[in-house]
Amino acid sequence: MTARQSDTERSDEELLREAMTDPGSQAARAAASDLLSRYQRRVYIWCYQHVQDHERAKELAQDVMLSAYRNLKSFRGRSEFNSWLYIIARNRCISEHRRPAPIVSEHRDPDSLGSHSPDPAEAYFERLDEDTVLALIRRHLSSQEQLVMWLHCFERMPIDTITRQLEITQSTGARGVLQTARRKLKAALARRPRA
Amino acid sequence: MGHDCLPIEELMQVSDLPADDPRRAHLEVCPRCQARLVGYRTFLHEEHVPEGADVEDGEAYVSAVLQEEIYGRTREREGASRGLYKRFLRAITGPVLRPALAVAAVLIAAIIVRGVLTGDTDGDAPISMRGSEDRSEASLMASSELRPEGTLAFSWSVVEEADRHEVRIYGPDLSELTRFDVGSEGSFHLTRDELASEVRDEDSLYWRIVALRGQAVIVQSELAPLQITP
Repeated sequence: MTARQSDTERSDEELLREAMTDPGSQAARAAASDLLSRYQRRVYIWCYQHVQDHERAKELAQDVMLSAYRNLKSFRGRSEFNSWLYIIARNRCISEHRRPAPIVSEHRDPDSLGSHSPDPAEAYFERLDEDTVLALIRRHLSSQEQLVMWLHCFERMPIDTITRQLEITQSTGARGVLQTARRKLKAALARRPRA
Repeated sequence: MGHDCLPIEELMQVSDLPADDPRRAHLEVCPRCQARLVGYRTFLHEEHVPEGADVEDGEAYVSAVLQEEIYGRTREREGASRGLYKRFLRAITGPVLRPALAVAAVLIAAIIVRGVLTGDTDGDAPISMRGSEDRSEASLMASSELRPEGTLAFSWSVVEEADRHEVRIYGPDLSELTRFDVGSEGSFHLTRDELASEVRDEDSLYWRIVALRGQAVIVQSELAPLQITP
């Protein structure tokens, strides 16, 4: 074995251990750099998918990586490093958007984020917390519709990414599934007894 | 999170458990847990590069920032934006181009002076914040200070078009911990006890000011570190 293995030979855990052994030392810095460099491409692409803008994606990716580096000491090692980094990237991107409404008027683009509508049904859903929406969609939607809606409205995943990840083969992809789900939710809301 | 929902870091392992395991059974029927697992897998395995993304430049930028943070200086990487910029600077300040650069500088100065004297200022409209289509973070100045008595003092430049502002506080993993509606004021004070109860003194926190009109974000400041202990 050479004095220092190339970073591709070492696991995330090994690099992390070295980065934490003597923080501030040259070896620790190099290990942290190697570890984080493995993920900078993924983090940038993840951020780009969420904001669809190169400059914003760079800023978000920068925030994510700097936060990860500055908080390495708080990583307890109870989970995979990449899941910890993913949580930071996910939270950072989610904080960029207001939650898309679970239901929107049918003439509006279901992929639009943060739009505001006077529609009372939409406004009603926008005020609901996650657990209430979860209970509603589990009662009224198919399992695929539930997943597509949650991915889009709460994980802020773009429509085309959902289509690809869930391998939805119908021509309208996740967009069509989402529109159907929204129609069903709106109909369910119309049927509910008035207080 | 629901009572049975699983932390993201456990989802991958749970998906490999036998089907009769209660946690796996929950994952099979819970759209929230399933969606989080799909998100995590996408992050790890997605090879698709979205249209319009410039991965090489994005990666180079992040790498340069990270190296600067870790080593306190900017490393030059082949093909990196910052490296190209430095090489450009070296080229224009080198011995061959230096005289040409001096001539160009004189010409540019002359053009600017002429423009100012003749009032020819086309394209020099006053800079203003144009709302969410601009979303210029740099244009909203904000600062925070930890006062000796332990109070956190926030201040920012008020956005005239906004009907209210929010101070938002983020945890070490950049999840939002809490937010405060501060109306149309340009400053806000907070005691350590008013922060989310789960915050520990050693945590690295972040904050930003967000200017809103109704529910729409007009402009927000950059995410900045928040010092909560001396």
